[in-house]
Amino acid sequence: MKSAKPTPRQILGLVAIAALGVLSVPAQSQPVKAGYIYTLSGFTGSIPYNWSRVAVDLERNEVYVLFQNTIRVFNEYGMEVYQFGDDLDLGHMIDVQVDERGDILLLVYRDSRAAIIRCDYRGRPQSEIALTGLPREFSDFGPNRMVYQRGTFYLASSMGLKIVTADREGHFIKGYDLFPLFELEEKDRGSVELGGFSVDRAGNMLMTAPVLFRAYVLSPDGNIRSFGKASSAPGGFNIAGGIARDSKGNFLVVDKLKGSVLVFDAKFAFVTQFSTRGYKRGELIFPDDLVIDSRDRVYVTQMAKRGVSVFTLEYAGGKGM
Amino acid sequence: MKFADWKVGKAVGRRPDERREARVNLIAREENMTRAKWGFIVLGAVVLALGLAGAAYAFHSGGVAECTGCHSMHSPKAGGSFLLKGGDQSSTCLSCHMHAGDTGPSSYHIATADADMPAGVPPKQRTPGGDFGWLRKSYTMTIRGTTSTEDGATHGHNIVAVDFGYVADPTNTTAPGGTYPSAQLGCQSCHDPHSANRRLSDGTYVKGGVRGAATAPIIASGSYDTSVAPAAGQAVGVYRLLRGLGGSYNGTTFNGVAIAVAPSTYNRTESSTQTRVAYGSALGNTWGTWCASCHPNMHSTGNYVHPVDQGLGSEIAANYNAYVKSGDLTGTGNSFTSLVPFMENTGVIATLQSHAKNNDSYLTGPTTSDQVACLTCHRAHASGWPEALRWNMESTFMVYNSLYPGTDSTPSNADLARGRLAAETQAAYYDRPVTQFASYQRVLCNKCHAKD
Repeated sequence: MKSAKPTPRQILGLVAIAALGVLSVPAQSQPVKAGYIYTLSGFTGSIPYNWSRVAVDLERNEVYVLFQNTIRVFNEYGMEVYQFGDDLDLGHMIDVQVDERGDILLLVYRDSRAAIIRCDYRGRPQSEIALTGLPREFSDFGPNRMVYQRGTFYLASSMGLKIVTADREGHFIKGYDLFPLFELEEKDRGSVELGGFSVDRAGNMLMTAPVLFRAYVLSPDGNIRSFGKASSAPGGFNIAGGIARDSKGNFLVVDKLKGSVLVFDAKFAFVTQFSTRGYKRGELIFPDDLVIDSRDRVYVTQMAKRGVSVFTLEYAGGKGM
Repeated sequence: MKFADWKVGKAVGRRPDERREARVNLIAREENMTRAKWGFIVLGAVVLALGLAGAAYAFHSGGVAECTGCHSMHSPKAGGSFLLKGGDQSSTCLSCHMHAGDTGPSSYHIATADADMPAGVPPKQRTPGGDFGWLRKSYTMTIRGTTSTEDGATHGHNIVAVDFGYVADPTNTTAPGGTYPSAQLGCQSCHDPHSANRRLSDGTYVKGGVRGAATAPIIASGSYDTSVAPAAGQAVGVYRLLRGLGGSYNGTTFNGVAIAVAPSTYNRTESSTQTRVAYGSALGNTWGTWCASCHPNMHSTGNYVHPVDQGLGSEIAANYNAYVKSGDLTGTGNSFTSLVPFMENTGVIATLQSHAKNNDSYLTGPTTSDQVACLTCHRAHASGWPEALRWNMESTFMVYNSLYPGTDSTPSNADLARGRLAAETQAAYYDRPVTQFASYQRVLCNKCHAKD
């Protein structure tokens, strides 16, 4: 009778197959918890923001916060290192992003018209990027949210319920009318808006619609999926705000009324929620939006001059990336 | 664009950028790392989902809304009241009715977030009631050598919404002309989030929620030109869920009903067409009576004050209809301006619905029996001017040398600019082109009194 003991070659083959299997399976949800670490600060203490805009520079681990036309830059420890803006020379800044080269991209409004301004790392304007090639149905497009990722602009109009993608030079790539995708009726126009908007690493557009108590994932090809329900119980939405995705594929959704961040896995199953409404450390007052950096640090904006609270995600299998 | 003029930012530390030569010696202000101690926050296990996802976006629908929209049975704000999730009633309201990132008027938003209105940028909402953000806009000016500040708190009703930074009126401890405590003023003071008042199919108004009494259920909002007419056995909500019919709040009794109809799209710029709310009155249900619930001595009979709830009469009505702008009394019709609205002498909702337009399709002026109301001169929430007035009463001219006054447009006329940029002045007039007025337009008291 032949021995059942595997040969080294067989073992190597099994290991290879196992490795291939691990690599080919999408990131699975894992138990996750979040710990508060600090609030973005200057040398005199926490910066008392109310509902600011936050962007992370994934390459350099810097954090950009836009509030009242001033942009402050924070280092990877949450300490302010630079600021610029504070006047209306370029218009009213609505959103900010940082590209892979470290250039700062500003979505601004001047005379009720949107424009994208590319600035160098010190905030000195270099050029204006005009949005061109918009089809007629997007001619009235007025974005108030901007994400830049791998050479593509993702611009959203939260009240207009439209999204436009454009290349680095502003050339129109594709437009999405969320109105039919949300299955709304004409009478609902103007009553539904986006509560949060972001883009995950695969280019899926994430958004919430507070009055629908839903979160949505829109793939670049236009396929839309949704999750969530109205409830004050854990896992339910009261007023959904910002949405983002961590390195493990979990969806994090802000709930303004709960003062919490809800975590759902890649299959939309509720995992946990962290923080609660309050004024103590790590608690939140009307959180509005969130972004996640390359180290799975979560930056949450809020009201009551509570600034931007920073949490770190930890997973059962170890920390995030 | 003047890129060359762009100011370089201010370094308050050094940045670890590869293009920068210095390697930063980071000074971290990391607070205590509490992540190790952080546990999951597990809330109550009772699921309160009501299955309302779907058509839930008509949240109020003319009456009491979904309970869990504002209250939590098991996870309310610690130490709060009414099981509310917000710190107070108005904060709960603003959690939906204010949104960061607005670039212009946005649907049901009634306040602009601080983040969106830096110095020089006016509030963005243009609801007929006005943007509460004006309460946050203080202006400093030096007029004839004297520097003064126009406190934003003078611009409207100072609702208390602590989480959002709205605090009680710093000057008036009670409602002017009344006893309603300023510290208790909130959205809920005027609007009843649990409103059971309703308008029946025969046009009468009744109070719901009365033990021992039965009435028709509220099927939808009754505030809009598009609101359905309730069929027999049905009802719609009262205008804007405003209190009334003898209901009391904080010791104040709201008598009568506030009657009005708004266009379904009401939060919009008036740069091209106006937003006309059709205010009505019938059988003693007048806006003056309603406002007097909190301000009983403001315009009461016997006081030497401007009349309210009073028919315009032939002289005033004729002036209103003829007035086009300063020096121009050639109007022959289509004289309505939303900067000086009036109260129609009718409570018939179908009539008011036909008048509540946002496309200038109905601009007919008043008849002699139409009335002046508090809202003729004041906005209900807030405005860009002191006392929530619809126009600047602090200066002689609203428009000067064909320009909206501003520190940038009329720098030699600080008394007209009043610390604002011209764009802020224009925003306070809901973006109207300056050409709608005379080159030297005087205050809009003249719309009725025609003295200019």
